[in-house]
Amino acid sequence: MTPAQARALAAALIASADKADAEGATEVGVLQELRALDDAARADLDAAIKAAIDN
Amino acid sequence: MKRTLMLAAACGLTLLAGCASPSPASMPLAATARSHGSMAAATLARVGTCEMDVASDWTALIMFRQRAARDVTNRVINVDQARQVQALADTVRIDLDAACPSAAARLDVARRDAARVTLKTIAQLLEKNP
Repeated sequence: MTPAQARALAAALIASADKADAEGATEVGVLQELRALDDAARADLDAAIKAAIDN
Repeated sequence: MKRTLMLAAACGLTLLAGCASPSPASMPLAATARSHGSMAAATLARVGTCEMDVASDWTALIMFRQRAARDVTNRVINVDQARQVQALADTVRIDLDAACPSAAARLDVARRDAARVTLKTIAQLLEKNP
């Protein structure tokens, strides 16, 4: 794992923990957080591809 | 003299035993679980669930999509290459979802390994155009 990946994973884990705290949950939904981040990254890449075609 | 030697040997053995049993602070997680009972074992079980086995792969997937978005915007890669990354990334996602569908699931090692092969392909594709 690169340092950048480690920081990204740490940020995702902290975000999951914060969400769990806010909801009063005792389990951290790491997979849900990672899936949501991938959804966003996929959408961003789609948008970037479309913009590159349009330009 | 003999008693002194026996005492010295006993002290030496005690010291060696102390060296073999590191302090809890420096023990790896597995050793901590063994010496600190069921609560630590439960924590260890949570840490050992499949979600942690695939977390780094998910992170790599996300970062590769982000990098491809930057690279196609900056014309480091072309649209076809970006589409290829997206398609490969989608395959990785399917494999990772199958490898670990939920935190409580058992890891499907074959699907996790298949995801890693595809991640390497994406890395090579992007690194051809640094």
